[in-house]
Amino acid sequence: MLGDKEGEHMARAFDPILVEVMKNELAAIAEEMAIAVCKTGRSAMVRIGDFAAAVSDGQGRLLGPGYAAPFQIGNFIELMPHVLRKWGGRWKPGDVVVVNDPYAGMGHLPDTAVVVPVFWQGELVAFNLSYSHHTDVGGRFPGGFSSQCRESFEEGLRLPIVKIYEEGKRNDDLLDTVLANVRAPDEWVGDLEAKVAGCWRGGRQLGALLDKYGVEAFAACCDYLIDYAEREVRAAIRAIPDGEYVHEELFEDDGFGNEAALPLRLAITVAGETLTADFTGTAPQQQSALNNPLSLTKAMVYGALKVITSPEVPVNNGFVRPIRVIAPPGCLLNPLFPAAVGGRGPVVIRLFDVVFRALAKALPERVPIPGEAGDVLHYTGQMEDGRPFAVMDLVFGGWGGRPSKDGIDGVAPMGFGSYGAVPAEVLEREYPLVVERFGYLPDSGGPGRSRGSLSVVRQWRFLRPGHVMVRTCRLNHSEGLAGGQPGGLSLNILNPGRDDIILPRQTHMHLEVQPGDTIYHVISGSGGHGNPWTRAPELVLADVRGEKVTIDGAREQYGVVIEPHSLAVDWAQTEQLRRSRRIATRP
Amino acid sequence: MRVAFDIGGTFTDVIVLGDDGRLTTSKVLSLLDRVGADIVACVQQVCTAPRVENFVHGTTIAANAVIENKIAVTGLLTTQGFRDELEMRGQRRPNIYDPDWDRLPPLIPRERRLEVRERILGNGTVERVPDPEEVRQAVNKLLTHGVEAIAVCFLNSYLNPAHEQLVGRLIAEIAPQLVVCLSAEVHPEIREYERMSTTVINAALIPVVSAYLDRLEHHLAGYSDRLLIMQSNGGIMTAQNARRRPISMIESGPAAGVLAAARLAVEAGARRVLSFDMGGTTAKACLIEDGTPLEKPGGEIGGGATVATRLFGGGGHALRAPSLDIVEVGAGGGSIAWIDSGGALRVGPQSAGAEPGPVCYGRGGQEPTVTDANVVLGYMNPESIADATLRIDRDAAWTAIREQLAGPLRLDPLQAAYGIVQVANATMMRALRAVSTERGRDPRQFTLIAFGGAGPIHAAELAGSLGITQVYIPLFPGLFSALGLLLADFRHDYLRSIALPLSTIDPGAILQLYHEMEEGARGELQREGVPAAAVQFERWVDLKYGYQIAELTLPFPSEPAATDLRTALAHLFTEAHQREFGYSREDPIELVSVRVRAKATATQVRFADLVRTHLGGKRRAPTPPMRQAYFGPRHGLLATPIRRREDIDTPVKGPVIVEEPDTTVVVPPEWQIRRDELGTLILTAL
Repeated sequence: MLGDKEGEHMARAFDPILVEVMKNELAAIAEEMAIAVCKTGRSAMVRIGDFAAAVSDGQGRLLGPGYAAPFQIGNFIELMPHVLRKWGGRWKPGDVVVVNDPYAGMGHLPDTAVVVPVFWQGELVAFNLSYSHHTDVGGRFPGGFSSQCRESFEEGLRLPIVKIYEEGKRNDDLLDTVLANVRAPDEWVGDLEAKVAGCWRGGRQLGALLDKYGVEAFAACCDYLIDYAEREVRAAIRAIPDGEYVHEELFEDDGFGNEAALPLRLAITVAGETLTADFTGTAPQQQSALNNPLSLTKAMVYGALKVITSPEVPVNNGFVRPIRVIAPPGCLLNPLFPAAVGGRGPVVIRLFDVVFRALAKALPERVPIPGEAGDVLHYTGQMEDGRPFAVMDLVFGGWGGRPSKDGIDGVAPMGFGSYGAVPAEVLEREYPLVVERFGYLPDSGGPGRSRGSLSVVRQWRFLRPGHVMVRTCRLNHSEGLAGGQPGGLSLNILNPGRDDIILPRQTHMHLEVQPGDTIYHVISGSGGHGNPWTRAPELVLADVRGEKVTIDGAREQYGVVIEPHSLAVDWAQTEQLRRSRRIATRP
Repeated sequence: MRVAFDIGGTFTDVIVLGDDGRLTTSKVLSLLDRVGADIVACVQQVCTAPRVENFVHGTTIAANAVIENKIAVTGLLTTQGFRDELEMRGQRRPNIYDPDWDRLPPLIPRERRLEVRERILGNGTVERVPDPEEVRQAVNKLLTHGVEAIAVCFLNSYLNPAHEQLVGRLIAEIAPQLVVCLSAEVHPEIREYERMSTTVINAALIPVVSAYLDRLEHHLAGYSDRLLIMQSNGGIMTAQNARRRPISMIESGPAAGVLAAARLAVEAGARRVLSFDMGGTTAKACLIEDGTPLEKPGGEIGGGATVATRLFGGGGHALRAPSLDIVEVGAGGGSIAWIDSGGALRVGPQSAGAEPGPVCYGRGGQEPTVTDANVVLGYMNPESIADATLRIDRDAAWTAIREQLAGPLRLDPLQAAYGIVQVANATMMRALRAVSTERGRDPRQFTLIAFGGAGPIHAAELAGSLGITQVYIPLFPGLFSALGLLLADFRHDYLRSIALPLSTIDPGAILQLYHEMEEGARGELQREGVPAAAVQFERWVDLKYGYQIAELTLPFPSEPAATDLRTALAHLFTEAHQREFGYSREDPIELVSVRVRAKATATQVRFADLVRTHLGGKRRAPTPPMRQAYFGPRHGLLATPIRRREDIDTPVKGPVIVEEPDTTVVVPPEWQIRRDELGTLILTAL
C-alpha cells in the first residue's frame, strides 16, 4: 500500500509529552473542520449527520484523532492510495480534488469527498479530507441510492478524483458540468464549498501547528500515532482466542424487490496478533445496486473491530496493519465496474451485524448485537407553486441486547456517524409532509436476558402528489444471541385505518402517492441477548410500567406474571411458570 | 450595602460590598440546607447596618437538581404519537464509538408521558381540536402518578399556542395546585424535542427551586427582601422570576465570572478578550468582544463535553435558554496524570477532586495531579497556600511524580512535572480554541483574562502557546465569580420562531412583533422594580440558509425601514456568514426566530473604585524572598523572586511569582509583569 511501508521510517526521537500535546491539537483541528462542514453544509444528509473530516500526513496515512465514525476513517484510509496514485508528486498549494467514485475508494456516488494538500514552507506535509452525503448526483433516481439501477452509469455522475481547484482557482468548467447534471445544484455546490472551506481552515491551523513545532516533530507525532494504534490493535487481537469464527447470513432481497437468499459469509481467522476477515463464499455481485464497494467493505470491518475491541484507539493506518480483509473480486462485497452500488445501504448495515456475530463466537462475553439502522423515506414532487422538492428522512431503530445490559431504544446505531432524526416540525414547515407518529412499539424488542431495542414507528402523511421511496433495511428478523430471541419485524402499511394495504416486503420500495396518503413504517426491533426466561423480573416489571412490554408480553416472552391492577410481579406464579418451562424444555 | 454569594461544589464565596465601597470576603461550606443562615452569619460579622440593599446569588442548585435527578414528579402531555421524543432525543448519542454507553434516563418516564389527540399543522392551522374530556382523563391519570408539575408540549405550538392554552386552562380547573408549563410560553421555538425538553426541565425545577428560594428568603428576610439571582445569560433577575423560569439559572455560576471579565475588559479598554477560568476539576473559556460575551441560544445539561455533544447533543437533556457560550474541558488542578499503554503522558479526565485531592494536600491523594506538578515546579508555595490555611507537602508530590511518572518515562521529575503542565495546557487550549479559532477569531489579537484558583498559574504558558501576548490577572482572581454577581445588570430574553423564507415575510409584522415583545419585557422588568425608562432593548434575529442545520444569531439592524427590511437582513446575514465561515452564497435565506434582550443597569461597581480601597500601603521589604522554579528545558531551574500584588508597582521581568491569598501568578522568563490603575496584573510577552 502506498505510503504505508511498515517499519521503513527511522525510529524518530519519541517525546511522550509533545506527542500528547500535538495529538490534542490535531484532534482540535479535525473537529474544527468537521464543525465548519456541519454548520455550513447544505444537504439534508449533512443535517442528519452524514459527514466526516480527518487529517492525513504527507504520505497519505490517516492519523486518527478527529471527528469521524470509524468506518468513515476506514473509508478515507482506502481512498488515499487511489488519490496518491493519480496525483502523487503533482500537488500545488491551493489544489483541491473531489471524488465520489466507488471504484476509487468511495462508498457510493452521493458520498463526495474533497482532499486538500497542506503545504508548509513550500513542502507538502499533510492532507485534509472531508466528505459528506450530497442530496443528488443525477442519474435515474433522485438521491442516487436506489437499489434498482443495473449499472454505475445509471446511478449518476462519477467524479474520478479530479481537481476542482488548481492553485486556489476553481475549475468552473468542471463545476458547471457537474451542476448541469444534478437535481439540486445549489445544494451540491453549497456542500462542496462547505467542505473546501473546512479543509482550508484546517490547513491554516496545521500551518500554525508546524510553525510552533516544526516538521520533524510533526512527523514524529504522526509515526507515534500510527504505531500506537497498531500496537494497541495487535494487543486487542492477541486477546481474542486464536481460531476461525464463521458467520453466514442470507440477505433477503435481490434489490429489485424479489425475495432472495444471498449469502453474506464471513470467516474471521485470528492468529496471534493478526486477524483475517474472509468473505469468500459470499454471493456474487448482483444485477441490482445492492453491491458494496470493496473500500466500504474493508471500512466496515475496521469500524466493527474498533467498536468491539478498542473503542479508545483511533482508527488510522496503523490500526489496519494487522487486519486483512478478503472479498473475492466479483462478489457482492467487491463488485467489478460497472456494477451499480447506490443501494448498498442495507447490505452495509448488515455487514456490521455479520462482523459482530462472527466475533461473538470468539468473544461471547463482550460482543453486543449492534442494532437496527437507517430506514429512509425519500419523497419528491412539486410544491403548489411548481417548485420541485426532495426530502429525505432517516429513522433509526436502536441497539440490540448486550452481554451485560439492555440495548437502547430509538437511537442511531453504535459505530456509525453522528446521525439523528430531523425534527418533525422542521419537515412540516419546509415540505408538504405531516409526521403523524414517532415512537416505540411495545413488545417488539427482541426478548433476552438483555432486551433488544423496540421497533420505532414513523408515520408520514403526504400533502402533495409525488414519488416515494421507502428503504427498509431489514425484512427478516434481527436474531438474538446466546439464547436471546429475535426482534419484531419491519412493516410498511399504506393508509392505516383506511385501506390498510400492507406494502410489499422490499428493501427499496417505490410508489406514487396522492395527497392524504399515509405510510405507517415500522423499523425492525433488535435481537435480545441471553435467555429471556432468566431476565430479572424487576427489569421486566420496569418495562411493563414503562409500557414498553405489555402484561401479555411479559408472560409470553419472559415468563413473568404481572398483576394488572397493582402492576407488581406475582412471584409465585412467575416461579411456577418459569419452572414449568424449564421442565418442558429439558432434553 | 450589597451582598453577593456564589455557591460552588465545596465552598460558597461571600462578598459584602460596604457603602464605603469596601469588599469583605469570606467562605462558608456549601450546605444547601443552611446556606441562608451561614450567609447571614457572614453578614453579621462584617456589618453593623440593619439593612442590606439586596442579595445577589449565583447557584448551581438548578443544574444539580437536573443532573442528580432530584426534581419534582412531573408529567408530560403531548401530541398523539410523540411521547417518546423526550426519551429518544433526536435519536442522537454523544459518542459514536462507545458500545457500553448508557443513555441518561429522561426526566419523565414513559408512563408519565401521555398523548392527546390534537393537531396543528406546519403552517399553524388547526387540524384537530383536543377533546376536553380526553384531556381531563389524561390529567387525572397523571394525578394518580402523584405529579406536582405538568409540562405541555404540542406539535407546532410555536406557531399556534391555542391548544396548549386550552389544556392549560383545563388543568387549572382540575388541579389548580399543579405547576403547569406550556411550551409556547416557556420557549416558542421550532424543533419539538428541544422545546419539549426545555419545558419539561422548567416544570420539573419550579417546585424544587421555589422551595429552595423560600428557605433562603426566609433567612435573609431580616436584612433584605430583595434577592436577585444570576442567570445563565449573565444578567440578574428577581427570585420571583427565578421561581417562574428556573431554566434561566442553570449556568448561573460560570456566567458570573465571565461577566466580571467582560466588565473588566470594558473598564480597561480591552476590546478583544478571552476569559479563562480554571478551578479544581474543569477549565472554562469564553469569548468577549467589545465588552459582550459571546452567547449561545441553548445547549444541553448533563451530557458531558464531547465534540459530538457540541455539534448535535444527545448525551444530555436539551435546554434552549440563552446562555453565555462557555466551553468547558475536564482539566483542572485536581486532574490526574498517568501514562497510557502507548507510553505517552496523559492528564485527566479523572480528577482527584477536593477529596482526596492532590498528593501534596496530604489528605490521602495518591496519584499525582496538575497541582502536584505546580508544587514540584516551584510555582506554588511548597509549604502552604490560602493564607497559610492549607499545608503543602512538596516532598510527597515529588515522590509521587518521580515514582509513578518520571521513572517509567525515564525523565527527570522536574521534566515530568513540566510535562504534566504542558499536557494539561494542551487540553485547556482546546477550550480556548473552541471559543476563538473555531469561531473564526485569531487568538493572537486577544487578551487573556485568567482567574479561578488555578488560572493565573497556567495563564502565561497557555497564552504563549496560542500566540497571545497579553494576560490580565484581575483583583480577587479566586473570588472573581462572586465579584461578577455585583456587576450584573437585569436582563431577560424573549424569542418567537417564524421559520419562513426571508422573501415571504411581512416586514411590518416583524417590526410589530418586536414591539410587542418589548412591551411585554418592559412590563416584566417593571414588576421587578426597574423604572420603565431605564429599560434598554436589543433586537436580534436568527437567520440561516434554508438548508442549514444551525442559524446565526445577529443584531437586528437598528432603525430599519420596513420597506427594505428583507434586503437589509439578507445583507446582514451574507456578511456574517462570510465572516464566520469564509464564504457566502446567494441562496434563499430563512428567518428562523426574532429575539429581544431587555436590560436595565442594576449597579455601578467599578474596578477603579475597588482598587482604591483594596490596594495600597502594605509595602514589603525591598528584597523579596526567592524560590527555585523550573521553566522547561530551555531555561531550567531559575531563582525566582516571590512577590505580592502590592509590590508590583513598576514593570518587572520574569521569572517572577506573585503569591495571593487565593491563587498564584506565574510569570515565566520572556514575560514581563506590571500593574495597572485597576489593580490588574498585566503580563506581557517580551
